[in-house]
Amino acid sequence: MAINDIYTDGIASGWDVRDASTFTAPTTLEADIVIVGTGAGGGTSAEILANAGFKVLLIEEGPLKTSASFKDMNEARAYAELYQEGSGRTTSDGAITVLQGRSVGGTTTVNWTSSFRTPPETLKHWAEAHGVKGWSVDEAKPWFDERSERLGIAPWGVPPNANNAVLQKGCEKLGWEWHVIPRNVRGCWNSGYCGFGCPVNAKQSMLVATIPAALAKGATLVHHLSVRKLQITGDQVTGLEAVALDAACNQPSGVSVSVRAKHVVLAGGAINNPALLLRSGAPDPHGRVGKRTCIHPVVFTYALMPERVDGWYGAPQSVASDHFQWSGQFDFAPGFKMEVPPVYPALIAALFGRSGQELSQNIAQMPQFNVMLALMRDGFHEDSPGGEVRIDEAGNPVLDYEVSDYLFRGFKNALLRMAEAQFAGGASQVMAAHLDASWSPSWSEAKSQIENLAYKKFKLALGTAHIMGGCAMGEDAKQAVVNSEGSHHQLRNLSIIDGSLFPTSIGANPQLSIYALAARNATRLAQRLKPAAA
Amino acid sequence: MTPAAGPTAFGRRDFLKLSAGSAALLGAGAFTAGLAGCAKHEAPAAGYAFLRAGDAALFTAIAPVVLADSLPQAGRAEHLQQLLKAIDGTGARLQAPTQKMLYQLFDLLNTGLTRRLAAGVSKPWAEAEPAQIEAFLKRWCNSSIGLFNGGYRALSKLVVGNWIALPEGLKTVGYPGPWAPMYSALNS
Ligand SMILES: Cc1cc2nc3c(=O)[nH]c(=O)nc-3n(C[C@H](O)[C@H](O)[C@H](O)COP(=O)(O)OP(=O)(O)OC[C@H]3O[C@@H](n4cnc5c(N)ncnc54)[C@H](O)[C@@H]3O)c2cc1C
Ligand code: SF4
Repeated sequence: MAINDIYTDGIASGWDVRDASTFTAPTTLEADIVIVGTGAGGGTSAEILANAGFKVLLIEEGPLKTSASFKDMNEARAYAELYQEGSGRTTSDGAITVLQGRSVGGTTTVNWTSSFRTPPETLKHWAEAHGVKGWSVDEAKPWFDERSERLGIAPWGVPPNANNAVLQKGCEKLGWEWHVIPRNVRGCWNSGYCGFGCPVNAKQSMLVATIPAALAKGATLVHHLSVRKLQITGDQVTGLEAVALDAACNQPSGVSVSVRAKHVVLAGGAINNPALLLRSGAPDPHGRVGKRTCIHPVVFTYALMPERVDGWYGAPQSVASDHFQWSGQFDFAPGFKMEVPPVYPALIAALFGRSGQELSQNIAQMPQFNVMLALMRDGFHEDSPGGEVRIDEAGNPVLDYEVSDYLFRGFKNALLRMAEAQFAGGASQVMAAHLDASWSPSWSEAKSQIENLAYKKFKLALGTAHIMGGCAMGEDAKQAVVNSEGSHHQLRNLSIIDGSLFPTSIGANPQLSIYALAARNATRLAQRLKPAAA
Repeated sequence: MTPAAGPTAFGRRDFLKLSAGSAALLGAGAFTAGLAGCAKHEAPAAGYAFLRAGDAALFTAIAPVVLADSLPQAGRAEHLQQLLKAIDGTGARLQAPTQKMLYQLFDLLNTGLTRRLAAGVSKPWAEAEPAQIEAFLKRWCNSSIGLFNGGYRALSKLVVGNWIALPEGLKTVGYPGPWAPMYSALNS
């Protein structure tokens, strides 16, 4: 069965899509509005601004990979082609694995489709502690409604796969809150391959939903093009300096590209946006760029189930629990959300952290694995200020993220609760993802083991797939890089519209938080700039 | 540190000396090539984009020990070659800061003095006994020093993550293959 490839068809119908790796001479590109980055923020903005009549140019450093290249359903290909640093990005000390996307559609091309609205508690906290205006629960609601409609977001209507069912059953037994996860899909096959690129265009990623719509309205997309610098004169961005990448999307091809536009939207995501501002020497009088980079640090536990789970198949995430998210001793430790990751073989094997017979005998049982994860709500307490993005001598982004005792206490709480849920969900044995841990056959043994583990970096397997902040929004220029609508506090024609805006983490997987805020900001921007054509 | 998790192949006194020195090691930028006293700018080995000759020898030696039965005996040489290529590709896609961190780790393990002191492996990797390599991996895994745990995680992740992503590796974790109803519909 052939799935129509949106881009093959679109390009044939006249879409302006260019591969900068094929450029042979220096070029200048012009537009009303240039958008750097094509992920959740950039993709959403592109459709809205193109619909409003602007000449939009989308720039993406990653490749254009579409359903046609996803039909191998192959993990290795996905990590190599669709992720930042081939999925090998980490914090500067190597302690936390950082997963971020890098292709047209950004991280939305590889994400797992969980679509949560920003929790009301988070929106209130932003208004109170971070000077965010105009984004209260009531003000945000219409934008969440509208984006949910646009992207087919609805609670998953199919029973969870066996991996997610462990969390559901555990919560039910323990009387904990749990909910069905809303997903951004249309005509989903329930296959589970969202992390490698959806091969049937069911996931309403930016690759599938908004970017094609923008291209149909006359937007231009240039991929294999990395923006290195903003040229700044006074309070204006006068142009962008970009370098074309080679076909492998790894090294500069040697061809430079300049870009001129009346307005610039940065949507390169957390880490890359602040790095671009730092490389450009953008005004930052209060030293806010790169600060408060939050990551929802994640810890994991494994369970061996009595039966096959086949956690690689089926919608990757369909059940979550907020039981420990908003009630707890938050002066002591952060709240967290409990979910499961898909059991992607290489991802889970690499995380497992064992070697020799201990490794091979354990991972041979992967069909019976249930894996659980907890996302820490970082950035809400003074002992959890988030990390900091800086650049090295060559201008490459580096993320420093210190793990405080406050977070370590959260990790311990979360490992305990996950192990408890796994036993309640029917597990025969449970083990924390920690170098000193071993399988426990009962909740009481797991409990005493987890209580006595050393809570240290590297001992604990730590990861993040949610990089947020670093270009925080807020009305106070001493605290924030941009105002509440994403306009830069110092540069008149620069907006930032993506996950780097958040002043704290979200307390839920962030994509819908980005979509809604981006839709609002891009709409306001269009109203402010009023194109001649509109 | 529990005694059981402590050093075995080299003396406890050496280890303590190193423990005391490890704070300095960390402070000086973890695995600095300077401390390891070795050339920083060596080019990748022929046919590789990231791994240098010594790094390839290191992975050739440790991969079979890390993977044990996950690396089938039949066709081992060929599998190892594929794995090295995959590790090389992974390294080549990293940005400079992450590459530098890995090179520092490799330098530490490829310089005689630090290899003996930090890893407890007396011979060059190509000559090291599997038992010695196993002891080294265990020691770095079980150590109470974050630097060693981090080195262990980096090495094992490169080996395991890359191997299990290859077709032969995938078989060893019981993965039945891409979800058949979809795969056959799309690829027929
Ligand atoms: C494996 C995985 C699973 C996830 N699952 C979920 C989920 O289920 N639900 C959820 O809500 N969230 C999920 N997320 C997170 C979510 O997808 C991201 O938070 C979100 O996409 C971030 O949006 P963004 O616009 O900030 O940046 P991104 O979507 O990351 O887009 C940024 C884009 O800009 C490009 N870029 C950056 N710098 C430059 C430059 N200088 N020049 C040119 N291009 C540049 C990048 O290559 C990238 O393509 C997941 C993330 C991962 C990694
Ligand atoms: S589960 Fe649905 S959205 Fe994910 S890859 Fe399969 S069809 Fe696509």
